[in-house]
Amino acid sequence: MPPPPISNAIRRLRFEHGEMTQQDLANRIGMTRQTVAAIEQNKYSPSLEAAFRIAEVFDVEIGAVFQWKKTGTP
Amino acid sequence: MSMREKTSWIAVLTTLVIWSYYFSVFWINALNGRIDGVELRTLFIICMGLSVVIMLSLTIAAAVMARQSLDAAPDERERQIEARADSIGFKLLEVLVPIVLIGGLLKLDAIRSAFPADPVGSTAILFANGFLMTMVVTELVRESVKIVLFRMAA
Repeated sequence: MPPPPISNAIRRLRFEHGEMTQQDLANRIGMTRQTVAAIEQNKYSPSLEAAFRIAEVFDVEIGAVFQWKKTGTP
Repeated sequence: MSMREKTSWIAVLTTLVIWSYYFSVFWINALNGRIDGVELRTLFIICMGLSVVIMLSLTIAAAVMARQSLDAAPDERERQIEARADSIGFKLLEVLVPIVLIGGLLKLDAIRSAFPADPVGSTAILFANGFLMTMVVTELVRESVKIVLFRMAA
């Protein structure tokens, strides 16, 4: 299955927030470290709620965390 | 590796070892025309007990060694993986149960003539073990699907 056409800046945001670990982020959004790693590597698309929770942790808009890559197809 | 993936590995390996042994003993005996209900019941109870004890102790040991919680609620990705595995397992069960049932019914005369000493009891034991095998195979596939899905996103 091809990866979803979504990129994210979680890794950069983690490092900008005191080198937050994946486990710290996972604890704050109620997920496992493995799920955070999968989201970060673009292997799993989180739910809208999880995406908002991640943005909330970094205190940024959701668009600063996740970006839709235009695919050109409907 | 998450606790749920470890649990799936433990379930797959334990089931493979213990129930492969049980069904190999059962089918070798059955194909040689020897079905002993009492002996089989003892073997079944031993295998069931061993499965539970080994799975529980390995799971607890894995949780203690990794300092992970055994009863943590699954997150959304884990729930999604479990739902996909359950769905595949259920579809497989829907296929296997009729195969065992229809296959058994079509071979009823052959089964009865292969066990002249106790045709009714042997038929019942064969059917029961056929269904038990479908459940074990389904569980193996279900846990294997979970492992594959966990690995795909690892």
